[in-house]
Amino acid sequence: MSFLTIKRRHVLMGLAATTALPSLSFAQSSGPVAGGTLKISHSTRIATLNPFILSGPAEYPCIDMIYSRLTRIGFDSQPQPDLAESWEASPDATEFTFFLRAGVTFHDGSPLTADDVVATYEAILNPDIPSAATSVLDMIVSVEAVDDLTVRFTLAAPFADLPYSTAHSNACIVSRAALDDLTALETVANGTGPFKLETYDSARIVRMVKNEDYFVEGRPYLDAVEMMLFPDLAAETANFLSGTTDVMLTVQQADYERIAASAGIEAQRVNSGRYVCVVMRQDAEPWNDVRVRKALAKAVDRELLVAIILEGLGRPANDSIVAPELEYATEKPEITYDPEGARALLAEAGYPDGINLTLVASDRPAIRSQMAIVIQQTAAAAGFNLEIQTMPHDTYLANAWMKAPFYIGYWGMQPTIDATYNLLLTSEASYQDTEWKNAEFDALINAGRSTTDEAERVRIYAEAQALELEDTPYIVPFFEDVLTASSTETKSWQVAPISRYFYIENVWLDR
Amino acid sequence: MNLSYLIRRLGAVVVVMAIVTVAVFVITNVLPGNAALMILGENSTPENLAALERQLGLDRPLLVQYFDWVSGILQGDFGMSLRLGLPVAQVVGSAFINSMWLAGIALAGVTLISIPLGALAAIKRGTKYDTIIGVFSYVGTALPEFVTATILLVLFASPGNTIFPAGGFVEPKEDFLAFLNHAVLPVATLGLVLMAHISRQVRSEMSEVLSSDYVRAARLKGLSERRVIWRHTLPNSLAPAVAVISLNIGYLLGGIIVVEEIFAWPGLGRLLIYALQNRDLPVIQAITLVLAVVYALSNLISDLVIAKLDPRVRYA
Repeated sequence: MSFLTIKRRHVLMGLAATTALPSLSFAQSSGPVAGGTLKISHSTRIATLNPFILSGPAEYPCIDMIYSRLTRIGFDSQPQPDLAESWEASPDATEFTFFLRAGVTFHDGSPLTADDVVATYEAILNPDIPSAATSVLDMIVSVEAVDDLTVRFTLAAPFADLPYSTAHSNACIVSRAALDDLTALETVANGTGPFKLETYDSARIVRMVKNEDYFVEGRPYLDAVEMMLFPDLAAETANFLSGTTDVMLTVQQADYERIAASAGIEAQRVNSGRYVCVVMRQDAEPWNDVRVRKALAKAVDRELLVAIILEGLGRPANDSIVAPELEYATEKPEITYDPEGARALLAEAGYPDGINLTLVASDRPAIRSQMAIVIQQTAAAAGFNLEIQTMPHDTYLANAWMKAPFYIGYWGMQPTIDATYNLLLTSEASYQDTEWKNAEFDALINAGRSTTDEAERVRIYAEAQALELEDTPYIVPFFEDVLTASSTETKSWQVAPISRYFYIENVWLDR
Repeated sequence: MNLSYLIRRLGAVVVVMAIVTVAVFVITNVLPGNAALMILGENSTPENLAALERQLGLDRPLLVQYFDWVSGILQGDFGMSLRLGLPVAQVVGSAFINSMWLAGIALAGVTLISIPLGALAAIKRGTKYDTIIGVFSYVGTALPEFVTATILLVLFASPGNTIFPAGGFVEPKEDFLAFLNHAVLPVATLGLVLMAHISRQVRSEMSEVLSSDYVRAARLKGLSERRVIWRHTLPNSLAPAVAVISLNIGYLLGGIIVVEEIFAWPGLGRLLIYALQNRDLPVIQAITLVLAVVYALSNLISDLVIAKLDPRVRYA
C-alpha cells in the first residue's frame, strides 16, 4: 500500500512552540486513551442508512461503524477477518466455508448466528431487493448454515476472490428480523459493529455511540462519533480549521494545500484507484476503429490534466482501469502527449481533416466537466473538434449514461482486478458501456477466477491487461488521490485507498 | 371587509394549490430519470432499478401516482419521502419550523430596523444620514445573498476570528442561546437585502407624504414636528410599507433557499434543493404546497392589516 502523510507547519510557529513548551509532544506520546466524541464533517447528505443500496461518500463511514461484514478490506487492501474468524475454500474454489466468531451480539442484544448471515445473503441475492453487492456475489448458488457458527457458500462457478466479495461495503450482515421491514433499514440500524446508531437526522447530524459489547476487546476507544453535514464547503472548512470539527472527511483538491499548511492539522493524501475515464462506445463509427481511440489517447495531455484538474494530487494513468495498488497489476507503458502522432493516426483512420464529436459530461461532480474541457483543449491540436455538452446529473443518468457514444465516466476503486474488470469490461460486465466485447479477454478473466494458483493468476491477469492496453477500450488519464484531513489531536484517522473502510474503532483523541 | 370576501380569498388559495400541484407533478415527471435512478446512481443495474421502482411505487401509471397522492393529502397523509425513507410530514414539518425561525427572526428584525431607518432618511432628506442610508440600501439591494453570505463568513467566521459559528444548527429547545448564535449570520444575510428594499420604500412613501398638502396644513396649524410625524405622516406611509413587506415574503422564501444551503440550516430551502436533485416528488410537492400557502396567507394578512391602517381601503 502506498500511503503518504504530509505534515506541514509554519516553521517559525513550530520553533516558537518548541521553545515555549519544550516537551509537550513527548508528554502526550503515551498509548491510546479511551473517551471523547469525534466530530467528522462532510458535505454530502446522509440520505439513507440502508446498507444494501447506499452509495454516498458520507454514508459509507456510517455503515462501516454500525455494521460488520463477514470480511473487511484492510489498509493493506487484503480481506481481513470481521464476523468471520477464518474461512476455507475447496481446492476448485466452488465451495467456501466461513467460521463465525462466537458470542457476537447485535446492538439490541440478540445473538448473531449463521442464520442471520444466510438471511442477509439471500436478501442480497433476491432480485426483488435492490442491492449494490449483487454484482460481485451473483455466482453464489446457495448459502446454508452448517451449524450456528458455520456458513457454507456453494458457487455456480469457481471464484477464488469470494473473501473480497464478502467484504463488499454493501454486504453488511443484518439480522433476519430486520429484513422484515426494508423501509425501516433506511433510518434505524441494528448491527454488530463498534458503534450503535443514536441520532439519525439526515438534514444535520448522525450520531453514533460506543458499542460496549463490540467483539474486538478494548475497542472502540471513542465514546461517540458525530457525522456533521456542511453542504457549503467554505463553511465546512471554516468549522474544521477553527476546531469545531476534528476530521474533514473529504478535502477538495483546491483546498488541500491551504488546509495541509494550517497549524494543528494533519492532511492525508492516499493513492487510490479512483479514476475519471472517457467512454467511447465501440459499436458504431468512429470509435469502432481502434486507431481513432489510440489517436485520442495520444491527444490527451495526462501531465497537464493531473496538474490542472487534480492540482497535482494524483498520478497519470495509461488507459488501464487497473490501479497500480491492485494485486496482479502490471507496469503500464507511458502514453505521452503527441498531437502530431495523433493527427497521423486519425488521418490513417480516414479523418485527414480532423473529426467533429460531441463529448457529454455530467455536472456532478465538477471534475467530469473540468476533464471534458481540458481534453477539448489538448485534443484540438490533433484535429479532434470536440463540442462539450454539460448536463445536470439526473439528465445524464437517464439519457447519457450507458447510452451516449462519447461521455465522461467516473468510478471508485474496486478491491480486486477481477471486480474491476467485471464491473466494466467483460462482455457480461454490470456496466458494459463500451460494447468492447472480447471473447479472449472474457476467457482469461474466467480462468483467473477459477484458479487459486498464484503463478497462474499472475500470468492470466498480465495477459488480460495486455489485451486491454492493445485495444484501448477506455481512455483513463489519471488516478485521483483520496484527500482527507484531521486535527493533530485525532490519532489513527485513516482512509483506505478504496475509501469505504475506515476502522474508526481504532481512532482515539489525545486531548 | 366581510366573511364572504374572506371565503372567496381562501377558495382562490385552494384553487391555486391544485394548479400548483398539477404543474409540479407534470414538470417533475417531464424531466428525465426518477427517484429510483437517483438513489442507485451509477450502481443501478436494470434488475436493481426495476426492483427499487417497484418498491417505491414508481412503476405505476402517472395518473394513478398523482391521484393516490391527492387522495392521501385529502386524508392528511403526505406519504413517504422516496429518498429519505421517512414520512414526508415529519421531514417537511421539522424543516418548516426551522425555516420559520429563520424567516420570522429576519422579518421581525428587518421590520423593526428598516421602518425607522426609512423614516429617518425621509425626515433628514438631503443630509448625510440620508446619503449613508441610501448608499447602504443600494449596496444591500445590489448584492445577492450568496455574496453577502460569503462576506459575512469572511468577516465574522474566519478561523482565528470566529465571532459567530460558520454555519450549523442547534435545536432551540436544546440550547436556545447556541441556537441564536448560529442564527446571527443567516438572519443578517437575509436581513441586509430585505432591509434595503423596505427602508427605501418607506423613505419614498414618507417623503411623498411629508410634502403633501395635509402635512403642510398640519404644520401651518402649528402642530409640533413630532406630532406631525407620529400622528399624520407615519401611519399613512405604513400601509405601503406593509404591502412591500408582504411582497418581500416571496423574496424571503427565495432567499432562505440560498442562505440555508450556505449556512447548513436544515430548513425548507435546503430540503427543496435536495428533493429536486433526487426527484423526491412527494417532498417537492409538500414543500411547494407549504410555500404557496405561506405566500398566499401572508398576502391575505397584509391586505387585512392595510385595511386596518387605512380606513379608506375597503374589500368586498
